[in-house]
Amino acid sequence: MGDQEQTWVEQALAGDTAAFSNLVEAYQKPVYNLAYRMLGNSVEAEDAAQEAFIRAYTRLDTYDPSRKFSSWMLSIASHYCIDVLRRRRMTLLSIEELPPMADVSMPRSAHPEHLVARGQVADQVQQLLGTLPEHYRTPIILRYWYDMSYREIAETMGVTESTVKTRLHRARARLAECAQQGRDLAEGRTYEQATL
Amino acid sequence: MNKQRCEAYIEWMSLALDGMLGPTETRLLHSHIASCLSCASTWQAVQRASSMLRAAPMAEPQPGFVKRFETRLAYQAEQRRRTMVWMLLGIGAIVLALLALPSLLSVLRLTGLLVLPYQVIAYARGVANWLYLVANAFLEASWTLIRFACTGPTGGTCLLLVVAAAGMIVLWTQLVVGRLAGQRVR
Repeated sequence: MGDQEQTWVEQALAGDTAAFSNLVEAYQKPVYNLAYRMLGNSVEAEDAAQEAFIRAYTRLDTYDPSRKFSSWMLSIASHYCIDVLRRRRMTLLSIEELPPMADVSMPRSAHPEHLVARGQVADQVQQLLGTLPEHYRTPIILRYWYDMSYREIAETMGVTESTVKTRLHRARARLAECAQQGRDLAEGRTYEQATL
Repeated sequence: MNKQRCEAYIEWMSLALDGMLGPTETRLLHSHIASCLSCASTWQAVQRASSMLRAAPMAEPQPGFVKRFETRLAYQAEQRRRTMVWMLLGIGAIVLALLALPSLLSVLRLTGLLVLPYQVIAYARGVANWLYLVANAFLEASWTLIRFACTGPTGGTCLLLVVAAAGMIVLWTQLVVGRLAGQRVR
C-alpha cells in the first residue's frame, strides 16, 4: 500500500471524510467497473459502487494495512454485488427461463478487434458474463480486468487458490460453450443442433 | 475421443491462457488439440471468448461520482443522527413520564380528581373479569365435548352430535356469512 493511501486511511479513521474522498477518487473506476461487469447495468453498478464505498468507510477500522487497499475494496464490492445478484435472482427470471443464446451470436467474419471498433463488444461481453453464475463471474472479472494472480483472486474472494483455478476453468468452459452456440446460431443452425 | 482425457486438457487450456502451464504440458496440450477435433473446437472457442474479454475496456462511472458519494454519505450520516435523536427523545419522554406520574397522581388525589381514574380502572377490571369468565366457560365446554367424543359415545349420541354441529354451522353461515355477503352486495 502506498504511503499516500496509508495517510488517507489514517486521516479517514480520524474522521476526515475529505481524506476518504481521495480514496474514492482513486478507486472509483475499478470499483465501478467491477460492479458494472457483475451486475450488467450502469444504474445498479453506480448504486453498488457507492454502497461499497459507504461500507468501506464504515468498516475502515477493520482494514488490515498489510493488504492492498484495492484488493480490500474490490472484495467489499464483489461481495456486495453477489448479494445484489442473489436478491435479484429471488425476484427475476432465472437464467434458464431466458431465451436461448441467440443474443450472444457473433458472425464468423466478426473478429473481436473489429467489433471493438463498432462498439459491439461491450454488449457481447456483458451477455457472455451474464451466462455465468456469480461465483464464476467474479474470478473471471478479477482475472481479465484487474490482471490479478490466482492468489490475489483467492484473497479477494475469501477462497483457496485451488477453488479459483477450478472456477476459472469451469467459467471458461461455459463461456466457450456459449460463444460456440452463439456462433452456430449465427451460422444458421438450430438451437437444438447447436447444443448437441 | 476419451471424454475424461479431454476434460483434463480443457482444464489445461484455462491454465495455458493464464501462462501457468509448463512447457511439457503445453506441448502435450497442442499435440492433443491437433489430433482431437472436439478439443480443437473448444480451444478456438475458449480463445475467442478470452480475446473478447481482454478487448473489453474498463467501464467508467458518470462524472461527479465522488460528489454523489459525499452527498450519500452525508445523507446516511444525517439519517443515523436523526434516528439516534428520535430514539433519545423517545427514551427521555418515557423516563420523564414515569418520573412525572407519581407527582401527577398526588396532585390529582389532593384536588379530588383521582376518583375518576379509580372508577375507570375498576370498570376495566370488571370487563376483563367478565371476558375471562366467558372465555373460560367456552374452553371448558369444548374440552368436555372433546373428552366425551374421545371416550366413545354410542351411535345415537354420535349422530346427535353430528346433526347439532351441522346445524350450528348452517346457522352461523346464514346469520354471519350471509349477512356479511349481503352487505357486500349492497
